[in-house]
Amino acid sequence: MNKQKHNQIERYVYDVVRRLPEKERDDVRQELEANIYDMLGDDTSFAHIEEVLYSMGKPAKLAEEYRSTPKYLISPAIYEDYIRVLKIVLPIVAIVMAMIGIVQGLLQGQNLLDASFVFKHVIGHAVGLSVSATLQVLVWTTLGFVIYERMSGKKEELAWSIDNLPEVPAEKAKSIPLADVIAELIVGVVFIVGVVLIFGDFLPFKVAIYENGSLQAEIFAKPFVLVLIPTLILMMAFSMVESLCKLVYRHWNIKVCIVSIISHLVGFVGCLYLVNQPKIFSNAFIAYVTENDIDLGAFVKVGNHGFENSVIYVLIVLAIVGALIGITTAIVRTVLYYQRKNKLIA
Amino acid sequence: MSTKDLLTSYITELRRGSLIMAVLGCLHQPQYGYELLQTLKQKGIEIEANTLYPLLRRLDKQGVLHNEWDTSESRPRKYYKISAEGERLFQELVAEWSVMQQSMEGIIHEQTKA
Repeated sequence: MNKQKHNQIERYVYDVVRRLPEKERDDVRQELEANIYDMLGDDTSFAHIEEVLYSMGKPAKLAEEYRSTPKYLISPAIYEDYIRVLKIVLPIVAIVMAMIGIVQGLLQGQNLLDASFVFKHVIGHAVGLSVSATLQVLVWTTLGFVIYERMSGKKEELAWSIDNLPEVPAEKAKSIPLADVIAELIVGVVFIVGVVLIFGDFLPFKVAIYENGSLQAEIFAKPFVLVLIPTLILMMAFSMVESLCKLVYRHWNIKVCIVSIISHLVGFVGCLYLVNQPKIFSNAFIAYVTENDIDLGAFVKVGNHGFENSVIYVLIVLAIVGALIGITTAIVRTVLYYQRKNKLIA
Repeated sequence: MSTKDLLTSYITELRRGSLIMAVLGCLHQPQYGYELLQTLKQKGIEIEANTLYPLLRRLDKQGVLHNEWDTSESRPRKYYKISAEGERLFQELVAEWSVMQQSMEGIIHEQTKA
């Protein structure tokens, strides 16, 4: 048999044994080679060698057969737990680090009117920090699970007890979907960042009327904006505390319910506080509207009231409706949860 | 999965269980891997080389088989033979097999009568 043919068999066998424990390699290599030569018989043509090797199947699969215990980084026994931890930890780390990144970016900025600066140092920094922290957490969590499994070894399989069985979770329909909570948190972060950027003069443009690229009139009165920023952030912060509560419990209960009610009350009071400000719209804006003969009543008009009062009425109605819906939902969901739980126990 | 694929996977599973018995039963005489493959084929047992060779090694490790390298010929060959412990296991398996066969036949006949 010439060298090249010999080489094919050698390479195949090598590809199998390199996946095996070192002390078994020599023995398996000799035996496997002998078997393959036996299978070849007298016909040592290229075609036959290929046929025999293909009949032996993929080297990785054959090696798997030789290894009695399959190799895993994370075994199926703890895979579910691993994924569950990642699903909770990764989004939180990503969001929190993005927030920290934005704050850091904003703090180091002198020229926040420059769009390229905002992109590079604020958004870029936040994304970079978030991605690298998420990867770190991914690596360390994985490593933690791998070490945990290697340390606990096979004992785990034997030593399960009925006492350690997990509680049956609240029925799917009555639990709070993880995706909802994470969406709420992301919206919260985006909202706060948005408010700070837009009203805090961090962006190259303002909330104003522009004509041909030049600023004509800022829409809101300066004192109102100064109240608006902390109020909105406070409202959103309470709403995020509510989301975090839901994340911890994953179903409605008395604590989540109380936090939710407080959060909605804060939102309601915040709205009332905002509309009670002596002046919402800037003089320049009102003047601009009058000058250009724009009928603001076309946007919002309640009864015979002017634009500002109409806006206030609409906001108050929205605040009342929003708070009522939110508080009712919280109470109804909580009552339903406890009813179901009692039914399960009974 | 189509019915045909299902059938293939069921048959594979069915055969896998009895494979160890077939191997042990054939190894009262020492045989090397390829030789045993031929023997099993002659007796109508379908088994792939890539299943049999690792299986032999596993049984050897478990002490159910003995192995011996024969280096007298031009090509060295590893011969396997059933061990004393393997023989005991084989007898137990045969007993279990006949019980199982009777149970299965009972179930199958009931089915055909009904």
